[in-house]
Amino acid sequence: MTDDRRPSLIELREETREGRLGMAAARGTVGAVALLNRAFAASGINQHELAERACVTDGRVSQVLNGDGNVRVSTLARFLRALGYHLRLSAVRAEPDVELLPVPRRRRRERVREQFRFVSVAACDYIGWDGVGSEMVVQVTRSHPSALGLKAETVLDLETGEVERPEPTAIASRWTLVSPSERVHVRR
Amino acid sequence: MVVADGDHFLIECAIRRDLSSPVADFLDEMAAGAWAPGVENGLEPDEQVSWTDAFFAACEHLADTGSPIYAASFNQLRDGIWELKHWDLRVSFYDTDGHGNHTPVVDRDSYPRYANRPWPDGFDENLRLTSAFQKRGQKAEERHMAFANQVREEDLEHDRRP
Repeated sequence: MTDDRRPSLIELREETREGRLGMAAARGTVGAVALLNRAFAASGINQHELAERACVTDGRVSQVLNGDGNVRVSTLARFLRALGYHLRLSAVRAEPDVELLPVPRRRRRERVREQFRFVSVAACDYIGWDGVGSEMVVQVTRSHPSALGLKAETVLDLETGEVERPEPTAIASRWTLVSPSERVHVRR
Repeated sequence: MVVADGDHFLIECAIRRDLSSPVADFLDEMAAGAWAPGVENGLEPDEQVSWTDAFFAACEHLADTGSPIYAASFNQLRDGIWELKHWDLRVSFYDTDGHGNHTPVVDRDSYPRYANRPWPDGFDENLRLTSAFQKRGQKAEERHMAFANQVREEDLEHDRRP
């Protein structure tokens, strides 16, 4: 029968600072290896496939999965990513009188979603609208390009759908609609 | 002597008839970096301490989750004696209900699937660590097996005492 009054061997080990630090390191390693093995088991792939995905040798996969040596955080993150997961780290209190880890609070920037109305083809160097060998330079603006002093061969008004062709062009009749998104890449 | 007390298992060091505990003594010596089995063991004192911390953490994980860290960290020996492995050191164990009863867990199907063997479901919730030894060959030496069996019998006898 168990003597409940005596501390466990782990509790005895943690009575010294060296013991607490040693156990913390060991728990970290055990946790990392266990997490990786869980992810690996859930993936259904074999070690060779994981080696290919992680761009390492089969031997390295076996070494890491079997907890051979210290697993670096970067190695853990790479292997988890190869299995389709992101690594997330957190710290939990080890002692009751330690404050909860504060989360930095900073004002988030306000993302302004600009409303674009006009799509202008400012310069074309293409062969037809099918895009074969073509590069299209497109500008997406809120105001009409002419108001901005921009020269455009063709302008599409997104609001009305009207296409303006102030200059004779060699553009084919089919218009490829550009849908401006939050991130608009404009070549200048 | 309790090693780890978790939601799934209570892992303790087995007790002999004379109330000594081979694994408790072994872990004490390893934690102090003073384990000397009589032959060159290749572990420096600081490595022994690290090994002990790793073993404790592995036991804690097993006790808390009900599963070992990875499939190759344990092995089936014989007649319900199993072993936990770390580097080339082995700690044998058996399972019991804590009242002197023991039904050997023998998994005959696990050997062909060495790399992916599952942790058996049939263990009782008390795991008793019987002996520690350094693995020198492919099979656990017969004397280590005999010793583990002897410690198991004496530990069960200890539990049956009124």
